[in-house]
Amino acid sequence: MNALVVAKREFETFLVSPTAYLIGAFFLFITGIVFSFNVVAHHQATLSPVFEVAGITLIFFIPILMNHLLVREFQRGTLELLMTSPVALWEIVLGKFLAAFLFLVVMVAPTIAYLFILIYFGQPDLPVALVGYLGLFLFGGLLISIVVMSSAMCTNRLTAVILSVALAAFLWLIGRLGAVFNGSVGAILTYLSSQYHFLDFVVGVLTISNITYFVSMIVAILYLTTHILKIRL
Amino acid sequence: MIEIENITKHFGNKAVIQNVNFKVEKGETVGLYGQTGAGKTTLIRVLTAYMFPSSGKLTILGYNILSHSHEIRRRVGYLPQGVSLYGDMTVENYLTFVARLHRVNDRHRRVCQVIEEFQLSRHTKTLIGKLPLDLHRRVGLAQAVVFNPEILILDQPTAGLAPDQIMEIYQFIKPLTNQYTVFLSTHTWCDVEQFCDRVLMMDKGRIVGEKRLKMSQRRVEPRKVAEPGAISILAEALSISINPIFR
Repeated sequence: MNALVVAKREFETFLVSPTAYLIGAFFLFITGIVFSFNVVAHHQATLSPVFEVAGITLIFFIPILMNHLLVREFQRGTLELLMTSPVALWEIVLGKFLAAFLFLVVMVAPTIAYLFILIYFGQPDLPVALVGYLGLFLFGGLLISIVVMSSAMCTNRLTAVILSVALAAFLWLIGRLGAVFNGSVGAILTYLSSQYHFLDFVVGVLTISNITYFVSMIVAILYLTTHILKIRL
Repeated sequence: MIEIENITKHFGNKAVIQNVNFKVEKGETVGLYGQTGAGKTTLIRVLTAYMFPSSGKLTILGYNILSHSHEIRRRVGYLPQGVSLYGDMTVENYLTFVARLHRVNDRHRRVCQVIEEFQLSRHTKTLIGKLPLDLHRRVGLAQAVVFNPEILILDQPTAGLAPDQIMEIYQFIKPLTNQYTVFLSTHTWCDVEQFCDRVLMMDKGRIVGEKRLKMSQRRVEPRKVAEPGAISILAEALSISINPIFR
C-alpha cells in the first residue's frame, strides 16, 4: 500500500528534524515535572495527572511540530510529482497521518519510564495507566488529523498552526457550552467535546462510546481532508 | 499512445486550453512549442492526470483519463517544470522512494542502473536540496524513468539552465527519445530541433500549427536559443500553415 511508502518517507523527515527533538524533549520535561510533583508532593502512584497535562500540552505541540505535513508539499511543489505517481489522495493523507502518529508514539514512549518507576516504588493501577495511554494516543490521533486537515487548507505553516490550535481548542472547550444549553443541544455539544471523552480515559474509564468518538472523528476529518485536497487541486 | 480530442480546461471562467486535438504515436518524440503563458504546462498537467480536463476526451495507452487516471500514472514518467523534488532526501533514497511507489521489481538493481545511466554515482548520498541545478534536473530525469514508463512527458526540461548545462542535459535526454515515446514542452526552439520528430505550436491555449521535422533538422549540438514569442515568424520560416487570427 502506497500510504505506507508515503508514511515511511514522512517519518524519516521527523527523525532528522531538530524541531522534532526539541519539542519531544520539552514534552518530556513538562510531563516529567508533573510526574515528579505528583509523586513527591502528593505521594500518588498514578499517571492520571501526567496524561491530563500531556493532553493539554499536545494541543499546542502537535500543531507546532506537524504543521508542515501538507503545507510544505504545496510550498515546494512536491505534491505535483506525488500526485502524478500512482498514489491516491487518500493514500497521501493516510500516509501523512500514520507518519505523524508513529512519531507521536516515539515521543510519548519514554514516559513508560514513569510507569516503571511507579511499579518499582509503589503499586500503581496498571489497567488505569494502560487505558490512559490508549486515551492519550487516541486524543493525539484526533489532534494529528486536525493538523493534517489544516495543513491541507492553508498556504503557510503559521496559518496552519493557528488554525489547528483554534480547532483543537474549540473541540476541547465545546463541552463547556454544553453546560450552558439544556436538552439535546447541550448533550450534543458535550458529546462533541474531546475533553469530555479524553478525561474518561485519564481516570481509567474505558467505554466503547469514547473509543467510537475518537475513531469516528479521526476517520471523518481525514475523509474531509481528502476532499479538501481534491478541491484545492 | 496519446489521443486528445477537443480538450478544454477552464480555471474559473477563463479557458486556459481550448479545443486541443492531436495524437502521438508509439516511439515518436513530439514537441509542444509555445511562449510562456501559452498553456503548455496546463496541457502537460492534464496529460499526466495531475489535473482533469473540463471537457473533451483524453486517452493514453487506451485508458481514459477520467476513469483510469491511476493506470495512466503508473505508466507515464514525468519531469515537471522546475522539478520540485524532496530536498531533504538523498538521491538514492529518493529514487528508491519513487521506485517503491511504482512497485518496481528488483528495485535496488533498477535504482543502481538509473544512477549509472544519469552519472549520479558520486552523488548518491548527497541531499537533493544541496545539488546544483543541472544535477537536480538529472535526478528529475532519473525519477521519471526509474520505473520504466511507456511514455515520458518532459515539461521544459532545459528551463533555467545555463548554456553549458543545457548542452550537458541534452546528452541525457537524447538517448531517452530512442527508448521511450516522448512528449516534451518547451519555449526553446533548440530543444525541438534536438529531439523532436514532430512539433505542435501552441498559442493562447490552442494548437495553432504542426510541423513534422526532417531528420536533418534534428541536430546533435545545440545552436541557438529561440526568442520566445516568435511563433508567427518561426512558423513562416518553417512554412507552417497557421490560422490567420493567431498571426
